[in-house]
Amino acid sequence: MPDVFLSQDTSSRSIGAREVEIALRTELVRRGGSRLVLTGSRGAFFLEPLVEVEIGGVRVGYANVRSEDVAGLLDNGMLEGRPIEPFYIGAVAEAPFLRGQERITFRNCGVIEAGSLTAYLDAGGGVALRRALFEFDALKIIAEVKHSGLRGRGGAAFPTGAKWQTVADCVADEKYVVANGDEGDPGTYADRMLMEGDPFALLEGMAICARAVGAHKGFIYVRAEYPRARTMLQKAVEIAHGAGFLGADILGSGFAFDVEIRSGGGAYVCGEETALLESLEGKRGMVRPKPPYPATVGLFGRPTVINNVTTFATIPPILRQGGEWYAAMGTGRSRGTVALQLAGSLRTPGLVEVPFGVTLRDVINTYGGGVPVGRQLLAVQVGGPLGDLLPESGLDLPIDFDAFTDIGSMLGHGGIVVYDDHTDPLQLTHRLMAYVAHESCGKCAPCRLGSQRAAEILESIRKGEGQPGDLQILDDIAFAMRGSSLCALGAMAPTPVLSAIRLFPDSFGVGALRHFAG
Amino acid sequence: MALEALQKIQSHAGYVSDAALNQLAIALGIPAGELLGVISFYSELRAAPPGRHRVCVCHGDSCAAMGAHHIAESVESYLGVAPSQTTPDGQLTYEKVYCLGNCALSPSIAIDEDVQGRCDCDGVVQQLKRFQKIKDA
Repeated sequence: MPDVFLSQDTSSRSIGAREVEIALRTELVRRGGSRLVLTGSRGAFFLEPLVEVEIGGVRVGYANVRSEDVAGLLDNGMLEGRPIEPFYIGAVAEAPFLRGQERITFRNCGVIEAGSLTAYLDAGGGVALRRALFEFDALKIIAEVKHSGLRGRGGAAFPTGAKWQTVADCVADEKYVVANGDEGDPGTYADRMLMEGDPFALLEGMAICARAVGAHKGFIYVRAEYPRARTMLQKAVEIAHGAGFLGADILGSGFAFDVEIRSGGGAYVCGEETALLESLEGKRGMVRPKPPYPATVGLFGRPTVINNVTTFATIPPILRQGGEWYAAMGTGRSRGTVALQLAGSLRTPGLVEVPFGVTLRDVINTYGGGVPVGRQLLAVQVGGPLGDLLPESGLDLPIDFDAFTDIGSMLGHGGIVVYDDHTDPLQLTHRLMAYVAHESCGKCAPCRLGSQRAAEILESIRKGEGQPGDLQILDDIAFAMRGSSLCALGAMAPTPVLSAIRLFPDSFGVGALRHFAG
Repeated sequence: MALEALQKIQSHAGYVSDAALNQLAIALGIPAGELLGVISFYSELRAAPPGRHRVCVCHGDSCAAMGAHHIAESVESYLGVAPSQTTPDGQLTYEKVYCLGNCALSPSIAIDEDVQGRCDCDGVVQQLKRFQKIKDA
């Protein structure tokens, strides 16, 4: 009997995959035979709950299955791979959404059993760690990461190899490796998918890093809103310990590395690396002035590598196949692949991993399916709530860290949220600025006061109570925040507001200049 | 280590009471005020008892783009409470959250740890009614 696969990630469960699992399990036991394998999601969420059946080495899919459909599907030959309407989508890997993707970081997500070390090793996991422990010395590991051109996927895009080098060069009694799983940018979910669907890739990446920099202790900081990710990681850490994949003597090499899972407290700013370190130390997540950078003075004052979850999960394939192989993909100084997370008003949003260099328009139309029928695209926000708003005419921008930086924006963690004409630009910018005011850690005045004042002004404009000169004040606040905030939260917060004023002057003009016009 | 200790207290008791806070302050040898500062910083930590269940309406960018404010309005008018408040019967605490990481299936809500995607106003209110029924029964 063929194996049956079903995603149990948070998103799939949010639209009924849990109920489908119960129905499938009951029916498969009753009918005897097939094994039900629970995976993470492939990121084609519009197909979930997606049941896959392996027929002759090819996995065929049945999309949008509800629990009440399960018995009928089995009666009609799902286990033989029969094309049953309207569920059947044929070979899953050949589905239009997945066919053109280059899955490297997300190679296992939705494919292998989530949280099974055996499945992870069968899929090629562990090869990179063995290489790091037995074949390569620290220098060679770091050289491979440098050759790959990998830059941090959390948002700042700092070269990973250079960061590791700095920590490796530090002399200290203790060093730390920290995975940033705070993923606070609304509109992003790549880290969550990895933590739930392929937790061992993260652990392997961290262990390789620890070996390279000489650390023996690691932490994964998981945001409070991701309880399932935390549970999956906790289990994975226990299994890894039991199998010698982590612990005092990893794979018999004599190298020791342990990982602890810590929960966030629901504070956006804790995704900023120094605030995260403060939070890990148990304190209020207040940003630290930089320098010194965490690489030299990090957790508990010790040299610390702090990388995003997606960055760490990309390390094993790089070490397995070589830095040059990875660097062969991409464009300019953005090498390899990028995990873009499509969200908002799109027909088929989901996670798309493609080499850097494709255009935003291509990603939105080819993968996202464009905005739903009857709607018009208003603006696209890339890089989270602090990212630029781009109009339709700005979508030919290539997905490339530097192309975004060049226009004063950022690619960030790869979140792409599409707003349609049902969104009011004023309401949107007010909401974004109020969010920053709420999430500001309060350490520096430009962010603490600037965001509050800007949110108040935007609210008054929204209510039609704008005063002459409001836009000038907003511009002044933006100038102060950009130039003198301690971290990106304050420095980037004015970005969407300024771009909205530029793109939709009428929305702002009518209210703000009412007194002039009158 | 204050944050972790407070999280542990809350996971057992549902919130951090004044008594627990003072005990922890003595145990850790740090002022109670500092611990209060930690509690007030993190939206997940509570100094007052929450309702039996928690309903969170996501206001992340994607959900906002897909009409989260309509969901929030329905929940607020049905429950008759503002964000961060608990219904008078102590059944439900209503919270506004910023991103549940379910952005491809917006708009989303969470009831306790159970995230639900592609929500509509009627469906959400129907679910809240279930909690009222449990109370009535």
